[in-house]
Amino acid sequence: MNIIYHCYGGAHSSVTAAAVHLGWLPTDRIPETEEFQRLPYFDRPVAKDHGRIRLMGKDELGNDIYVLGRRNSARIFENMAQGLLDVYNVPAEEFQFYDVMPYVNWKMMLGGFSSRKIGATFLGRPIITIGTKHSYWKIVTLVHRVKILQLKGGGGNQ
Amino acid sequence: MNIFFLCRTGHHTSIIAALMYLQEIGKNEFSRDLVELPGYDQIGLRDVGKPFFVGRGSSNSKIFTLGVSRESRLLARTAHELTGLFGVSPGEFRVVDTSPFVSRWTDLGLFCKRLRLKSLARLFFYLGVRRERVSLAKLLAKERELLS
Repeated sequence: MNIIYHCYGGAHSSVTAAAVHLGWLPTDRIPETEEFQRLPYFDRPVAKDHGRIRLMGKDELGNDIYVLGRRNSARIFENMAQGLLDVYNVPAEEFQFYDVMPYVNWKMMLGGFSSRKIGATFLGRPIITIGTKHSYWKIVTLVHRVKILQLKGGGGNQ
Repeated sequence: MNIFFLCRTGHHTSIIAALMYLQEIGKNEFSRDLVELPGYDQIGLRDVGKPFFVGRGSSNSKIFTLGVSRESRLLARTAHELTGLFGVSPGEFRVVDTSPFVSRWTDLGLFCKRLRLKSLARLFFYLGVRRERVSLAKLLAKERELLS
């Protein structure tokens, strides 16, 4: 199975969700700032990376975990992805798409904008890290839900 | 091969381009009411993004349209990557972006459609199609050359 976590820029919330899924971040405490900053792709992608589906790794069940930045096209992307699955006769259970944007708070948006859009990394990165910590448990809950659905053998995109 | 024509909704400019590609309408033929064209303006805005099958082209290629709002480059890239993950070879998937040829009349029509002003929207769509047809014909001529 292939699991794709997507958000606006593919740089913060989706990367965090994928990292939690892969066991790179703890689920029993909020990670330290350095743990976020050590993550591959965390606060690194820029606008020209939007639209690229990036492989983060394989989870314990052998599923491939990806992240994607799709700007404000969440619904269009999911419609398109489901439609392409039908066109190419790919079983829907093989690909799961999870929108992490509902768990993004204003600090993450402000930090992401400052760091990625205007390039003020020195300002944006600390703000985004604080914001991610504030939403951390919600992201962990999402990942737990995803894993439970996998174990039940199913599906269900968000 | 599957060919996807992209536009804002997948049911306006891209439908015209797809039908012209399939030679079901000519570049100068617009006496036919737009309403009669299969798929034209037959989409709810929540369904934008779902591929719409238009017909079969030469060498059994399937022609679809796809709505991408104003993010044609981003979503075309994502679609390429996604089909790669499906195991589809690059030669089996082609995207033709008609977004650059969407006229302001069509955009105005989409705006009126959002406001549920159907008749006004249809008028603007008709004006849009008249404006777009020549550039779409040139685009399609290039496409046919690339594919042959």
